[in-house]
Amino acid sequence: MKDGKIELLLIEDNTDDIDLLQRSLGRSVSVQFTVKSVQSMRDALEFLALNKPDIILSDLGLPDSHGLDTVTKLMCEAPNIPLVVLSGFDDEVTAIKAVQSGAQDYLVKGHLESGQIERSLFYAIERARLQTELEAHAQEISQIQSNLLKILDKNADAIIIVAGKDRIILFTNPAAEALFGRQKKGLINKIFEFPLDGGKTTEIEINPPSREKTIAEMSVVEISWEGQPAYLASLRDITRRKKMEEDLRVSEEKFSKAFRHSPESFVISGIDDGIIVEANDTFMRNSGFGKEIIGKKSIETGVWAKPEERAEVIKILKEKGMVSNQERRLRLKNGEIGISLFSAEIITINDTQYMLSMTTDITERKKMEEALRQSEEKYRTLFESAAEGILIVDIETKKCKYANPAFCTMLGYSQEELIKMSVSDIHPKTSLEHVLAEFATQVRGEKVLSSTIPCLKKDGTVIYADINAAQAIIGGIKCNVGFFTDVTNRKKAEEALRFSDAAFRSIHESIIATDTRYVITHWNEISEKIYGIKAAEAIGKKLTDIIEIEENLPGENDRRFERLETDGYCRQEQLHRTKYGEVWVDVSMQSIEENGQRYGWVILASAITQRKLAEEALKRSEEKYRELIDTSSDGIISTDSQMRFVVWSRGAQKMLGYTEKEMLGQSIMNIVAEPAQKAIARELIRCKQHEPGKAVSQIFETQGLRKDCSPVPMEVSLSSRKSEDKYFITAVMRDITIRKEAEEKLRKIDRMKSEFLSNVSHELRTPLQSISGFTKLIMNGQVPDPATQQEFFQIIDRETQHLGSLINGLLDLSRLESGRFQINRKPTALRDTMIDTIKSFQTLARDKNITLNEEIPDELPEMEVDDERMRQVFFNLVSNAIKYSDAGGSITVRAKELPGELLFQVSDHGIGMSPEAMTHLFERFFRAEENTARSGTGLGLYITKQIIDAHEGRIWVESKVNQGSTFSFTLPYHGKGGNGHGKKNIDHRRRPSDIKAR
Amino acid sequence: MAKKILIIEDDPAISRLVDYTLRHEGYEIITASNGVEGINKAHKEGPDVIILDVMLPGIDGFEVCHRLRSEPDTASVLILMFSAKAQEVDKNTGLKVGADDYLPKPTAPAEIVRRVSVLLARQNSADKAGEKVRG
Repeated sequence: MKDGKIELLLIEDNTDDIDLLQRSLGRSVSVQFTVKSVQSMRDALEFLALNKPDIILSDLGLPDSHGLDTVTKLMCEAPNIPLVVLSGFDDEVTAIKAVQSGAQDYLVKGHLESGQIERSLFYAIERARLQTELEAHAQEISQIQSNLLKILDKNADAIIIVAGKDRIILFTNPAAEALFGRQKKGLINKIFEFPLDGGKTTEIEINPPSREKTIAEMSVVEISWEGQPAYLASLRDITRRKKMEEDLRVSEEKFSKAFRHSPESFVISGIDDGIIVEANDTFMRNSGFGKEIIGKKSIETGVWAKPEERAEVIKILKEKGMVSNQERRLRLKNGEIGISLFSAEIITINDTQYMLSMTTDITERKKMEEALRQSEEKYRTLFESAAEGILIVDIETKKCKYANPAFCTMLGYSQEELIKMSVSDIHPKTSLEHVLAEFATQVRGEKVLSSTIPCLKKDGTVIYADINAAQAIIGGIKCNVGFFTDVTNRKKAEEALRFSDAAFRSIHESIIATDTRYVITHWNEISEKIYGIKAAEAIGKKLTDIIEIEENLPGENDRRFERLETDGYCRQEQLHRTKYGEVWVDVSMQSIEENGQRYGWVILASAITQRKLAEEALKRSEEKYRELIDTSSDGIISTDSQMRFVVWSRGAQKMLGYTEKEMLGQSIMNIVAEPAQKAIARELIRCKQHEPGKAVSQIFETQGLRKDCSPVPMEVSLSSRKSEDKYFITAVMRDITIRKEAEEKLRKIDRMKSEFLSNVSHELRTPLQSISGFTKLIMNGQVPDPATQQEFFQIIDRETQHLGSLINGLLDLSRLESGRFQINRKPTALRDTMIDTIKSFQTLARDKNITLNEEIPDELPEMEVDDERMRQVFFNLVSNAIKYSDAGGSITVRAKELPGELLFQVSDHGIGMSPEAMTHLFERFFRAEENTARSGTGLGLYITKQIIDAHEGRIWVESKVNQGSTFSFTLPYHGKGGNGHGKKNIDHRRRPSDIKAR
Repeated sequence: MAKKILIIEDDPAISRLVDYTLRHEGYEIITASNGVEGINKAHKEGPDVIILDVMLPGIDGFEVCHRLRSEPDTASVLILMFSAKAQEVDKNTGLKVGADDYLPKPTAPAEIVRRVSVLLARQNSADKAGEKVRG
């Protein structure tokens, strides 16, 4: 409705009808209508989709909807808008159906009176409204009914309606079913057994099938049910409640008993007024009160030491709701004030709050605690202030539990640090095994004292402690209580002492200490040994009383001690005599002084008797050997392993020119000539490698070097020896210069001999060649010419002679060598001999164009000489002269009378000879010129000399190179029969001892 | 053409002997009495054979032989060493220094002659073969 106007939707397709209706509606007085008209269902629906008119007036027959369809559609589309249908004639059936279908009314066209339409509409609207209201009410009622049913259904209480007259159950709710254990149909119309008293509440016992006995509380009211008197019973299952009540009762009984008989004092009192409501037996017993206190104020009882205390407690109680274990002072039975542990709670009894307090007397306990505390304090003080370190360790975990300040200081840790540490942390790792073992023995109770246990300080240094242990149970834990005493210093001292003790003992010298008056205070083991006097005997006695010091000079001892007193020190070798014997000692005496004060003497003596004796022996032996090596003419030297001289004998000095002083310490190479150094070095090494002592037969020749740098040939024999781990090489050197020279000479002679032999062979063969050759030629007729033949024969003859004299010469040599050379003296006219010789060389001389001259006095005296040999001599000299003269030269043979002798000379002007040659001229095999056929065999002059010597003459030569030579010899006059050959004969002498002069 | 033979020998008697013997065989003979003279004459005369004594004044025969062999124009001349030094070692030395043969003293003249002709014959055939054999 808008503005009091009713909005109407008109659905009519007939325009005339539309007009009619509109006019009709417009004439309405009571109600005003706003009309919207549409002509089809479709339009109507469209309109209805957007609008909500108050009423719809619709023709049944529309272009797009007929009859009931129209109604249906509209009802569908706008179910809440009242609908009035218009129908044509005789369509009432449809109209009625329409109303049945939901339309409010129907109108027949053509039968419409004025005002009918409005009325109808109006009523329709009204009806619609009423309908709606009715529906709402119905819904409400339905809802209420549903609610009521819900209440009934859901109600925990069982609701049963029982008819008043016959007690038949009229109504049950589900709870009733549950309670009775039966279904609705099992209950309805059954008789309700239990007595019903309206307005009363009773308890009934139900025995439902398949369940336990149930107790229910039933309240009954009288009601009217469907016009009949009935009872409404509501039942409640109070089984559980009953049980609870029972439990409670039991519990309460229990509680009551507990309360009563509890060893704790219980009091229930009013919180504010303090009136005791209940008190248990214990309280009464403890406080000495009886039941009379019930109803009294607790304060009045005097239980509280001070009323204020109660007030305090109450305050706390109110604040916190409870009081827990407060210590309060309460009066005891005996009137004394004691300490009790007070606890309280608020309880509610019958809606009133009370305080339930519990008190426990702890007076005794408190006393004990105090005592304990004091004792603990005592111990704590002890613990804290002890000088010893105390460490308490949990035996099981080995963790430190307590450490006193002294211990903390000892190791440098703080308490907090120590509590975190364990036994292993406070000992050095290296000794941990030992420490833990000690710990274990202590814990087992086997040991109380562990000595000198190393402990590790915080800074890493180690100290030593004696640990006294006791076991205790502290706080329920088994602990080891260790009392640590720092013995580091003691240990150090012990060690020092041990060291010095060991040192004292291990010194292999006699150590004697005396005071300033020379009274013996210390006497060590070695002293006992050396002097044969025990310490006990020596200590306390004056030094000089038991030891006599030998004097080399009178008063020496006085001087010794005087010097000692002055210097404070003396070192000597002395001979000490005791009653047990005498001993050589190497003695040091030293004064013991400190800060300028002398306290005594310390004497160190080592026995050197053995040494002394050995020294002496060695010295003597050394002298002996020294003499030996010095007297030897051979050089005896010895070097150390560095090849430096340690021994240089007199002989070595003689041989090489260096003195001992110069040579000792010098290298052996100084006396080895350079060319020989390598070889010597090799020999020395080889010598070293040989096992010392074993005869190293190394004898070899080498060249030594004198001080004047001249070389000296030496024969050396080397040997090595070992002494005190040192090597020494000894060499014996022999000067073999002479031998070498002799060897050389022999070698030379040997050479000359082989040359000679070779020569001889040649010399012998050469003439043979001529002799045999020419002979053969002639024999074979190859020399027809007689003159040539003659020439050849002469050659043969000459060569033969030459050969002969060669052979003779060899024979002579042989004789000379073997000493069979003899001369036969005969008076001889030497002039003839000389002339003969000259003559024999004429031819040769002529051939060589050499002049032979003679200067021989006519009256040359006769001499007793071996003519044959002299002939040989002249032959040799002249032959040589010719040999060594060149063509054109001249040779002169002279003889001269001299006193006692004759002088003979053969001079030539030939090639002469060197002074060198002159010195060897008369030696065997000497040839002035090597390799020349000219020089002959080298025998001639040698034999000549032998002959002259045998005649006791002298032979010599004067010569200048290229000027010529003059050979001269003398022959002394000889007594008759001079065949002695100059040999000495001493057979004439008397034999010394045999024949005595008579 | 007659073969030329040089005799280097210091002993006059032996020199005479060999000279006479070989001259008798038709050889042309030159003599020298020492090594130096001998070498000079060897170079100058160009002999076919040299009879060389060992024991010479100055340089000995071995040295002479060695020198002769060192010189190209005397390197191939036939050298017959003739010496009283007749040990094995001497012979070896001689052959070592290049002598073609070695005769000890004393040797019969006939033998000397034979040795010379053997040498010459050998040389001849060697010549023919175009080769010279050196000892």
